Amino acid sequence: MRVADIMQTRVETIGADDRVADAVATLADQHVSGLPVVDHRGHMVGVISSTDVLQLLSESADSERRGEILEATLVREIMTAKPVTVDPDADVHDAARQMLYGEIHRLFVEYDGSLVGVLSQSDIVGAVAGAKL
Amino acid sequence: MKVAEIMRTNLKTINMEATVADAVAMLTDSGVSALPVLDRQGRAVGICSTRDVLAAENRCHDPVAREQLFERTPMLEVMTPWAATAHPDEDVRKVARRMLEKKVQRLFVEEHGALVGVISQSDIVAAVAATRV
Repeated sequence: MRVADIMQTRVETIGADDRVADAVATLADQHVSGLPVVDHRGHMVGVISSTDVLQLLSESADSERRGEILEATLVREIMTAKPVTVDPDADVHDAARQMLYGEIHRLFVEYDGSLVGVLSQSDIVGAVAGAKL
Repeated sequence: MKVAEIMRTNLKTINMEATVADAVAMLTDSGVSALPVLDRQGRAVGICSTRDVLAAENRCHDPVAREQLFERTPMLEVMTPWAATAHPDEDVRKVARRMLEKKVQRLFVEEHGALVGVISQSDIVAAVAATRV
């Protein structure tokens, strides 16, 4: 089975120059734990996860600063640059190995330099549940 | 394949009376994305994930609310109550289906009423990577 068979094609993104507070709102609204970060031309430049945000919050001890820090910090400052990507034609077992070795929960699917989908652990679990793997 | 073959047994846990600030420190220090929440008798009553913390943070609109959340809100109020469990002898495919139905990232594994492990979507992905599924 290929990545394209089970990936999600509707992908919510966030801008590199958006505030972390906006990313928190999008993460919470979409019930996802990570978002691809795009530049002004729409090219993917990174990924921001709920763990990245918690790391930022844990650096500040007082609550006054916590609110400010989310407003004042830009997504590009805490994102993970150059996220791991996968080809839509890649085999799902290979994609699972990439997730495992990279200790990541999702792979972005790129074709010809454009973001065409995302493959999350849930998509692989779904394939297992449906006895497709 | 049985749950017992791929579940994790060495678990980081948190007490239900611990604060959100405690959970943030523990989540970031240990590099896990969720902690089972235990009551005073050591029984698992819920799970606190990075996503639960961010969702609660997103509901705070001022520093006072944020202070209240981080320093004075116990786990019991932000955790996701323990909804679904698995048995160590269950088949992984069946458990994969349950995870997706319940929209959860992980299930507690119980035997004779005691918590014996956790099986997460990552564990299933690892099994796929090893082509054991």
